[in-house]
Amino acid sequence: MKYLLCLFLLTAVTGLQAQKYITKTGNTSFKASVETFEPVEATNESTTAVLNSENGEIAALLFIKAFQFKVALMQEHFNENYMDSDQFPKATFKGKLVDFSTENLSESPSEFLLKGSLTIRGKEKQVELPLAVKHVDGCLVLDGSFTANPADFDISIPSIVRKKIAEKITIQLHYELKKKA
Amino acid sequence: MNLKRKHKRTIIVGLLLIFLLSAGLIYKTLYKPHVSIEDRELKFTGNTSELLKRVQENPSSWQDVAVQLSGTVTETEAEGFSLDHSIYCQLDSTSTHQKITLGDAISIKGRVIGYDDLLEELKLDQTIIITD
Repeated sequence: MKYLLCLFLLTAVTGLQAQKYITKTGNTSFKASVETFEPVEATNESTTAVLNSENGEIAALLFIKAFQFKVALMQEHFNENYMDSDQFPKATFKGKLVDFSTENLSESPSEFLLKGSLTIRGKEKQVELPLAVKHVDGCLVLDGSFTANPADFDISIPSIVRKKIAEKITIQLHYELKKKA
Repeated sequence: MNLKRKHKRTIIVGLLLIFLLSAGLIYKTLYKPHVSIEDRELKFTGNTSELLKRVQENPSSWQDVAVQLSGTVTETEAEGFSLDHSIYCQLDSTSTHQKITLGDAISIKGRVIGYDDLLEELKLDQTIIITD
């Protein structure tokens, strides 16, 4: 009986512990292309994201230098002239999915509002975006996109290339989070 | 008259050649290929704990550098694996890899992208497994 009680308590305690879903290889990409010019876009396939499924809290982190461009020279300029990635190596996000619960999730996406703060080049900015959440094969799949303004993060674009880079940058994310064992 | 025409032709051909050459050169500089991990110079060769120590001493100098590491596989997943519970290696997506199993002692070459403070591990990408 005592053992049974212990067992019960143990399962109750572990059940209460926060469930974490994690990815180390999340896909974050951005597009700042203007038609008729060379596409300005890159993908980061090494984004770390952690979701606490009990309360919907999300933390994410990526390294600027892990953004892969098609054109090597563009990647060099991006790191050296625009992002100063030696000085500001990462971008981070901390936020919360509003009214999140894993209960009604299925293979068809449900939408939640994600609110939080995004830090790029040491500058913090509040962002809000709708995030589609799916539950596929034990994974939580998050998809979303939002636009950002380079000036908000003190990223200055020289006038000579001003016409080749879009005013608003679209950032897209696709994370497949696995339950942490 | 004839001589003049000959000169003209040489000048035109010469200009055309210069133009083509410089166009080619500009193209080559603008569209130079990415340096693959195989061709990159190693900044560090050794084991995982030694690398972690070096990174902790001066984190900012350990970004986008190629390293060669040996360690034991402590976790595997589709896109990568962990070495000695402390370093995550994301496999190079452009090449094929041999199968890795838990507990394997392996040597790898990869690019350090930075220290992940969310998961408290060092992160590598473009990892290839060295077989000898």
